[in-house]
Amino acid sequence: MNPETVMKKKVLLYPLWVRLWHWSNALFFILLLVSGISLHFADPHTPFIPFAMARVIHNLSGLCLTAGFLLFVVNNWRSGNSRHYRPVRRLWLNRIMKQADFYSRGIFLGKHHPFPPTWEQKFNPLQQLTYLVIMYLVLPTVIVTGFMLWVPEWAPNRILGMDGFWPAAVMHYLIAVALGIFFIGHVYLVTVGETLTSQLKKMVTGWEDISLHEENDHERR
Amino acid sequence: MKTGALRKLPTRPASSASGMSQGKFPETKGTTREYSRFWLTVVLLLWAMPCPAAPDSGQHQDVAQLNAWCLRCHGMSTMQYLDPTSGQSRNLHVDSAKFALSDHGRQACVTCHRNQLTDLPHPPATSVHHSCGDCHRGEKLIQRMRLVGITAQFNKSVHLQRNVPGFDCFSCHNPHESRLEDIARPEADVVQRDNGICSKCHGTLETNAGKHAVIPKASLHLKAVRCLDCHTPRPGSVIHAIEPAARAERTCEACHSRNSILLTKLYKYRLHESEQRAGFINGVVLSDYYVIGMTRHPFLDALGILGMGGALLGVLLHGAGRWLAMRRRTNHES
Repeated sequence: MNPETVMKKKVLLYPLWVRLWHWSNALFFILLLVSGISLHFADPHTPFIPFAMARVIHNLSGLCLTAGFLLFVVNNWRSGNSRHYRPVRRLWLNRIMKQADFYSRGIFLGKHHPFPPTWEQKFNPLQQLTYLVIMYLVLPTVIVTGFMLWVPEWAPNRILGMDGFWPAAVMHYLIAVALGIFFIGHVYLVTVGETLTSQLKKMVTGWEDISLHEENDHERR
Repeated sequence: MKTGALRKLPTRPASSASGMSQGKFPETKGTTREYSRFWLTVVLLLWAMPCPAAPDSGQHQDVAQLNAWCLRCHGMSTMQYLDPTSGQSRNLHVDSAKFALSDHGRQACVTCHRNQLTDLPHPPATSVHHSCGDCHRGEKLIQRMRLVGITAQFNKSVHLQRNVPGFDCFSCHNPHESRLEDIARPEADVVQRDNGICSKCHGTLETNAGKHAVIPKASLHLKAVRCLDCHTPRPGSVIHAIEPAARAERTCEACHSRNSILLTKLYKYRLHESEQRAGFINGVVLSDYYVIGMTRHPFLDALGILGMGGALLGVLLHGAGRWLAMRRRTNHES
């Protein structure tokens, strides 16, 4: 079926709390990334951001991001938004491969998105897998290791004959790198909507045109 | 300080050297006489030589017996002296066990404390050596040069510049306990010991944590680095030129960077191990700490830069590909 002819309906897919969380999270994430890079590659001769300032920015942003994360988890569960994070188990791998194929080939050929957003499932399979891992595995780990760096007394004394602080520091760094890569990909994928800015608009206004046709409804589990 | 100096040398007979030249030994056959002369020369030469640095067991026994006599009183932990002029009590206790293990443990107490020690109480100024250089000046050239450097640093230190009464080498270096090999102890022990010296006059860790409130987590910092590491000129290991508080290091990056000043100070003696611990740059500190900005892993750094750089390049190429594909489609349709 031609997607052009599919009936669409405008729905508020991104409620206000999601948008507020998203943009505040983006702000704190950028501050954390920039200050974190400055702290890790600190140099007295060419300071990116002075260490003392970067430390304050990093700690405060980390605290705010943690508070935002906790609010997100609670609200996500209470508002029903968590339905978008429940994995679609049916043909899970096939769906992921189909989405990957779209990003690697279909998008260059002008094909339409294989999994347009619906009321029940706003994420495509790759998005869902990524967000699930980021929100419920990566972010908690980076938060916990971040607090261990902030309060070193919480870290174990010794690990493998070395100071117990280093596994937390190394893990925090590696996760930060992974999140940095995610951030670059995430910002880029904003441009792959129907137009360059359509994805951005929906995260500002919250409204999304969803398909009403059954064949495009990929939320069935 | 040479231990050989303590040995009691026998009194040289006045005629010993001349006796041989005057031929007072009994006449024997040529070869026997030559042997006798040879061996006599060897014996006389050995006798005239200065004592070797390593003392024999007999000398050890002498020193131990001599020191035991002093330590009968000074070994008591309560041994103190009330100075009638200042009214202050002076601690006269010497920890026997620590002294025995110290670098000076083979010295007799009377090597340094000489004057009329049989009188009780001892007369004032019983210590004849007032600086390390008084004994150590005669050693190897490089050590002498080092001592000259240390003396120059010490003369610039705030303690000397401000004429702190009675301040000398021994205000910080306890000659009864100091051991050169202590520099190889874990950094946490070195920090605790060295900061303990400063705390004797400058207050406890708790009071100092208040004075250092400008440093984040001051009490943790004071447990992790020495006072000297920030209160001496940087960079470099001029740790005897202690500076006034106003000139203390206040830049975080001084320590929290790849070329941390700690590498020339606290970790100076372990620098050669720096790349040998799990591949970390400055990995030597991993035994005690992970210092943000200082402890780095080249592989992980490269991974981070390549990962993020690769992602950036990937999306740029993907975006360029999309743009080219779109242009081609547009041209095709038109």
